[in-house]
Amino acid sequence: MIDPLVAEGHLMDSTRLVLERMCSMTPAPNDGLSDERKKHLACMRVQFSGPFRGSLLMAAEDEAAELFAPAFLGVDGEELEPGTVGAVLAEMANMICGATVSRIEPDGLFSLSSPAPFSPLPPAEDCVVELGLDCGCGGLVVQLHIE
Amino acid sequence: MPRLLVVDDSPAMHRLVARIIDQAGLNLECTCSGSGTEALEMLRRSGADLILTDINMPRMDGEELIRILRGDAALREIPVIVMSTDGTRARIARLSAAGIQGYLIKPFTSEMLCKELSKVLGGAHD
Repeated sequence: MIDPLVAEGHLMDSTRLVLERMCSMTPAPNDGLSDERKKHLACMRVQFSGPFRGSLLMAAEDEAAELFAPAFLGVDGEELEPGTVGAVLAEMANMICGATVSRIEPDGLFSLSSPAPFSPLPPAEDCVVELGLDCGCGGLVVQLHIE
Repeated sequence: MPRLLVVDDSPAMHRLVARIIDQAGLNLECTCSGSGTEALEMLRRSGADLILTDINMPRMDGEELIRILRGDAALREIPVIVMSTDGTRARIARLSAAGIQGYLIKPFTSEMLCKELSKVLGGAHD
Protein backbone atom coordinates (compact mmCIF):
# COMPACT_ATOMS: atom_id res chain seq x y z
CA MET A 1 0.00 0.00 0.00
CA ILE A 2 1.49 3.33 -1.07
CA ASP A 3 1.12 6.19 1.38
CA PRO A 4 -0.42 9.06 -0.63
CA LEU A 5 1.54 11.65 1.33
CA VAL A 6 4.83 9.88 0.61
CA ALA A 7 3.84 9.52 -3.05
CA GLU A 8 2.96 13.21 -3.23
CA GLY A 9 6.37 14.20 -1.84
CA HIS A 10 8.20 12.04 -4.36
CA LEU A 11 6.02 13.24 -7.24
CA MET A 12 6.66 16.87 -6.30
CA ASP A 13 10.43 16.35 -5.93
CA SER A 14 10.62 14.52 -9.26
CA THR A 15 8.56 17.10 -11.12
CA ARG A 16 10.61 19.97 -9.71
CA LEU A 17 13.86 18.18 -10.58
CA VAL A 18 12.82 17.69 -14.21
CA LEU A 19 11.59 21.26 -14.64
CA GLU A 20 14.63 22.80 -12.97
CA ARG A 21 17.27 20.59 -14.58
CA MET A 22 15.83 20.32 -18.07
CA CYS A 23 14.00 23.62 -18.49
CA SER A 24 15.58 25.91 -15.88
CA MET A 25 12.12 26.58 -14.48
CA THR A 26 11.12 26.70 -10.82
CA PRO A 27 7.46 25.74 -10.53
CA ALA A 28 5.21 26.97 -7.74
CA PRO A 29 2.21 25.05 -6.44
CA ASN A 30 -1.11 26.57 -7.46
CA ASP A 31 -4.68 25.90 -6.43
CA GLY A 32 -5.27 23.75 -9.48
CA LEU A 33 -6.82 24.59 -12.79
CA SER A 34 -10.52 24.99 -13.30
CA ASP A 35 -12.37 22.14 -15.00
CA GLU A 36 -12.81 24.36 -18.04
CA ARG A 37 -9.03 25.01 -18.35
CA LYS A 38 -8.30 21.30 -17.80
CA LYS A 39 -10.30 20.46 -20.93
CA HIS A 40 -7.69 22.22 -23.09
CA LEU A 41 -4.47 20.67 -21.81
CA ALA A 42 -1.93 18.74 -23.88
CA CYS A 43 -1.67 15.48 -21.95
CA MET A 44 0.82 12.58 -22.03
CA ARG A 45 0.49 9.26 -20.19
CA VAL A 46 3.21 6.80 -19.16
CA GLN A 47 2.13 3.44 -17.79
CA PHE A 48 4.37 1.49 -15.43
CA SER A 49 4.51 -1.99 -13.95
CA GLY A 50 6.71 -3.54 -11.30
CA PRO A 51 6.27 -3.82 -7.53
CA PHE A 52 3.13 -1.76 -8.15
CA ARG A 53 1.31 -0.78 -11.35
CA GLY A 54 -0.25 2.40 -12.57
CA SER A 55 0.31 5.44 -14.72
CA LEU A 56 1.54 8.99 -14.64
CA LEU A 57 -0.19 11.75 -16.56
CA MET A 58 1.41 15.07 -17.30
CA ALA A 59 -0.79 17.78 -18.77
CA ALA A 60 0.27 21.29 -19.69
CA GLU A 61 -1.43 24.38 -20.99
CA ASP A 62 -0.34 25.24 -24.53
CA GLU A 63 1.64 28.28 -23.38
CA ALA A 64 3.68 26.16 -20.97
CA ALA A 65 4.20 23.27 -23.40
CA GLU A 66 5.45 25.68 -26.07
CA LEU A 67 8.05 27.07 -23.69
CA PHE A 68 9.16 23.69 -22.31
CA ALA A 69 10.35 22.48 -25.72
CA PRO A 70 12.98 25.15 -26.55
CA ALA A 71 14.11 25.28 -22.91
CA PHE A 72 14.51 21.49 -22.81
CA LEU A 73 16.45 21.36 -26.07
CA GLY A 74 18.42 24.56 -25.53
CA VAL A 75 17.29 26.11 -28.82
CA ASP A 76 15.24 29.11 -29.94
CA GLY A 77 11.51 28.50 -30.27
CA GLU A 78 11.72 29.38 -33.94
CA GLU A 79 14.06 26.45 -34.57
CA LEU A 80 11.51 23.85 -33.48
CA GLU A 81 10.35 21.32 -36.02
CA PRO A 82 6.71 20.14 -36.11
CA GLY A 83 6.03 17.58 -33.41
CA THR A 84 8.84 18.73 -31.15
CA VAL A 85 6.55 20.22 -28.50
CA GLY A 86 4.76 16.87 -28.11
CA ALA A 87 8.02 14.91 -28.14
CA VAL A 88 9.47 17.03 -25.36
CA LEU A 89 6.29 16.80 -23.30
CA ALA A 90 6.41 13.02 -23.73
CA GLU A 91 10.02 12.79 -22.57
CA MET A 92 9.34 15.04 -19.58
CA ALA A 93 6.44 12.77 -18.56
CA ASN A 94 8.76 9.78 -18.94
CA MET A 95 11.41 11.41 -16.72
CA ILE A 96 8.93 12.40 -14.02
CA CYS A 97 7.39 8.92 -14.03
CA GLY A 98 10.71 7.07 -13.79
CA ALA A 99 12.05 9.37 -11.08
CA THR A 100 8.85 9.08 -9.04
CA VAL A 101 8.52 5.29 -9.05
CA SER A 102 12.29 4.90 -8.43
CA ARG A 103 11.96 7.09 -5.32
CA ILE A 104 8.86 5.31 -4.06
CA GLU A 105 10.44 1.85 -4.44
CA PRO A 106 14.24 2.19 -4.84
CA ASP A 107 14.80 -1.57 -4.73
CA GLY A 108 12.14 -2.42 -7.29
CA LEU A 109 12.42 -3.17 -10.99
CA PHE A 110 9.96 -1.21 -13.10
CA SER A 111 9.03 -1.27 -16.74
CA LEU A 112 7.71 1.94 -18.33
CA SER A 113 5.65 2.23 -21.49
CA SER A 114 6.45 4.73 -24.19
CA PRO A 115 4.65 7.99 -23.42
CA ALA A 116 1.47 8.49 -25.46
CA PRO A 117 -1.07 11.29 -25.84
CA PHE A 118 -4.07 10.79 -23.56
CA SER A 119 -7.34 12.66 -23.41
CA PRO A 120 -9.22 13.80 -21.45
CA LEU A 121 -7.32 14.28 -18.20
CA PRO A 122 -9.22 12.18 -15.61
CA PRO A 123 -10.81 13.92 -12.63
CA ALA A 124 -8.54 14.45 -9.62
CA GLU A 125 -10.67 12.06 -7.55
CA ASP A 126 -9.55 9.15 -9.76
CA CYS A 127 -5.85 9.41 -8.88
CA VAL A 128 -3.70 8.94 -5.78
CA VAL A 129 -2.03 12.34 -6.14
CA GLU A 130 -2.66 15.36 -8.35
CA LEU A 131 -0.20 18.26 -8.42
CA GLY A 132 -1.13 21.64 -9.78
CA LEU A 133 1.84 23.81 -10.66
CA ASP A 134 2.36 27.25 -12.08
CA CYS A 135 5.47 27.42 -14.25
CA GLY A 136 5.26 31.17 -14.80
CA CYS A 137 4.25 30.52 -18.38
CA GLY A 138 1.09 28.49 -17.87
CA GLY A 139 -0.31 25.72 -15.75
CA LEU A 140 0.87 22.15 -15.37
CA VAL A 141 -1.02 19.21 -13.86
CA VAL A 142 0.66 15.92 -12.91
CA GLN A 143 -1.36 12.93 -11.76
CA LEU A 144 -0.15 9.65 -10.30
CA HIS A 145 -2.55 6.72 -10.63
CA ILE A 146 -1.82 3.45 -8.82
CA GLU A 147 -3.95 0.35 -9.47
CA MET B 1 36.57 10.71 -35.02
CA PRO B 2 35.01 8.27 -32.51
CA ARG B 3 31.44 7.30 -33.38
CA LEU B 4 28.69 7.43 -30.76
CA LEU B 5 25.41 5.57 -31.27
CA VAL B 6 22.51 7.03 -29.25
CA VAL B 7 19.66 4.55 -28.73
CA ASP B 8 16.42 6.04 -27.42
CA ASP B 9 12.81 5.94 -28.59
CA SER B 10 12.48 9.66 -27.80
CA PRO B 11 13.33 12.02 -30.67
CA ALA B 12 13.66 14.77 -28.05
CA MET B 13 16.53 12.84 -26.43
CA HIS B 14 18.24 12.43 -29.84
CA ARG B 15 18.18 16.20 -30.32
CA LEU B 16 19.20 16.93 -26.76
CA VAL B 17 22.23 14.61 -26.76
CA ALA B 18 23.36 15.79 -30.20
CA ARG B 19 23.05 19.43 -29.11
CA ILE B 20 25.01 18.87 -25.90
CA ILE B 21 27.82 17.11 -27.76
CA ASP B 22 27.93 19.83 -30.38
CA GLN B 23 27.90 22.72 -27.90
CA ALA B 24 30.50 21.06 -25.67
CA GLY B 25 32.78 20.62 -28.66
CA LEU B 26 33.20 16.92 -28.02
CA ASN B 27 34.96 15.27 -30.89
CA LEU B 28 32.27 12.65 -31.50
CA GLU B 29 30.27 11.66 -34.56
CA CYS B 30 26.74 11.15 -33.27
CA THR B 31 24.22 8.76 -34.88
CA CYS B 32 20.76 8.02 -33.45
CA SER B 33 18.51 4.99 -33.36
CA GLY B 34 14.96 4.61 -32.03
CA SER B 35 15.03 1.03 -30.79
CA GLY B 36 17.29 -1.83 -29.79
CA THR B 37 16.40 -3.71 -32.95
CA GLU B 38 17.37 -0.83 -35.20
CA ALA B 39 20.52 -0.18 -33.16
CA LEU B 40 21.63 -3.77 -33.54
CA GLU B 41 21.20 -3.60 -37.32
CA MET B 42 23.19 -0.37 -37.44
CA LEU B 43 25.95 -1.79 -35.24
CA ARG B 44 26.26 -4.95 -37.33
CA ARG B 45 26.41 -2.84 -40.48
CA SER B 46 28.67 0.01 -39.37
CA GLY B 47 29.88 -0.58 -35.80
CA ALA B 48 30.42 2.19 -33.23
CA ASP B 49 33.01 3.22 -30.66
CA LEU B 50 30.52 3.94 -27.88
CA ILE B 51 26.83 3.28 -27.23
CA LEU B 52 24.55 5.50 -25.15
CA THR B 53 21.27 3.66 -24.63
CA ASP B 54 17.93 4.07 -22.92
CA ILE B 55 16.36 1.06 -21.20
CA ASN B 56 12.60 1.29 -21.67
CA MET B 57 11.97 1.06 -25.40
CA PRO B 58 9.42 -0.78 -27.54
CA ARG B 59 10.29 -3.95 -29.46
CA MET B 60 13.80 -4.53 -28.06
CA ASP B 61 14.64 -2.74 -24.81
CA GLY B 62 18.07 -1.62 -23.66
CA GLU B 63 18.67 -4.62 -21.42
CA GLU B 64 18.03 -7.04 -24.24
CA LEU B 65 20.28 -5.00 -26.53
CA ILE B 66 23.11 -5.13 -23.97
CA ARG B 67 22.64 -8.88 -23.48
CA ILE B 68 22.89 -9.49 -27.24
CA LEU B 69 25.91 -7.19 -27.58
CA ARG B 70 27.78 -8.95 -24.79
CA GLY B 71 27.15 -12.30 -26.47
CA ASP B 72 28.30 -11.14 -29.88
CA ALA B 73 32.03 -11.62 -30.50
CA ALA B 74 32.15 -8.72 -32.96
CA LEU B 75 30.32 -6.22 -30.72
CA ARG B 76 30.99 -7.23 -27.13
CA GLU B 77 33.92 -4.83 -26.64
CA ILE B 78 31.94 -1.68 -27.46
CA PRO B 79 31.53 0.36 -24.25
CA VAL B 80 27.92 0.99 -23.21
CA ILE B 81 26.58 3.86 -21.10
CA VAL B 82 22.97 3.56 -19.99
CA MET B 83 20.77 6.68 -19.71
CA SER B 84 17.49 5.93 -18.02
CA THR B 85 14.80 7.45 -15.85
CA ASP B 86 15.09 4.29 -13.76
CA GLY B 87 17.25 5.13 -10.76
CA THR B 88 16.47 2.04 -8.71
CA ARG B 89 19.35 0.26 -7.01
CA ALA B 90 18.04 -3.01 -8.44
CA ARG B 91 18.30 -1.81 -12.06
CA ILE B 92 21.72 -0.24 -11.64
CA ALA B 93 23.10 -3.38 -9.97
CA ARG B 94 21.63 -5.62 -12.67
CA LEU B 95 23.09 -3.58 -15.51
CA SER B 96 26.46 -3.18 -13.80
CA ALA B 97 26.59 -6.97 -13.59
CA ALA B 98 25.79 -7.11 -17.31
CA GLY B 99 29.00 -5.20 -18.04
CA ILE B 100 28.02 -1.60 -18.71
CA GLN B 101 30.62 1.16 -18.39
CA GLY B 102 28.39 3.95 -17.05
CA TYR B 103 24.87 4.81 -15.84
CA LEU B 104 23.25 8.23 -16.22
CA ILE B 105 19.94 8.85 -14.53
CA LYS B 106 17.55 11.13 -16.44
CA PRO B 107 17.15 14.03 -15.98
CA PHE B 108 20.86 14.80 -16.36
CA THR B 109 22.72 18.02 -17.02
CA SER B 110 25.04 18.70 -19.96
CA GLU B 111 27.99 18.47 -17.56
CA MET B 112 26.91 15.06 -16.29
CA LEU B 113 26.63 13.67 -19.82
CA CYS B 114 29.97 15.11 -20.96
CA LYS B 115 31.71 13.80 -17.85
CA GLU B 116 30.36 10.29 -18.41
CA LEU B 117 31.29 10.28 -22.10
CA SER B 118 34.78 11.60 -21.39
CA LYS B 119 35.30 9.04 -18.62
CA VAL B 120 34.52 6.15 -20.92
CA LEU B 121 36.48 7.60 -23.83
CA GLY B 122 39.53 8.05 -21.61
CA GLY B 123 39.30 11.77 -21.01
CA ALA B 124 40.64 12.59 -24.45
CA HIS B 125 37.45 14.37 -25.45
CA ASP B 126 37.00 16.97 -22.70
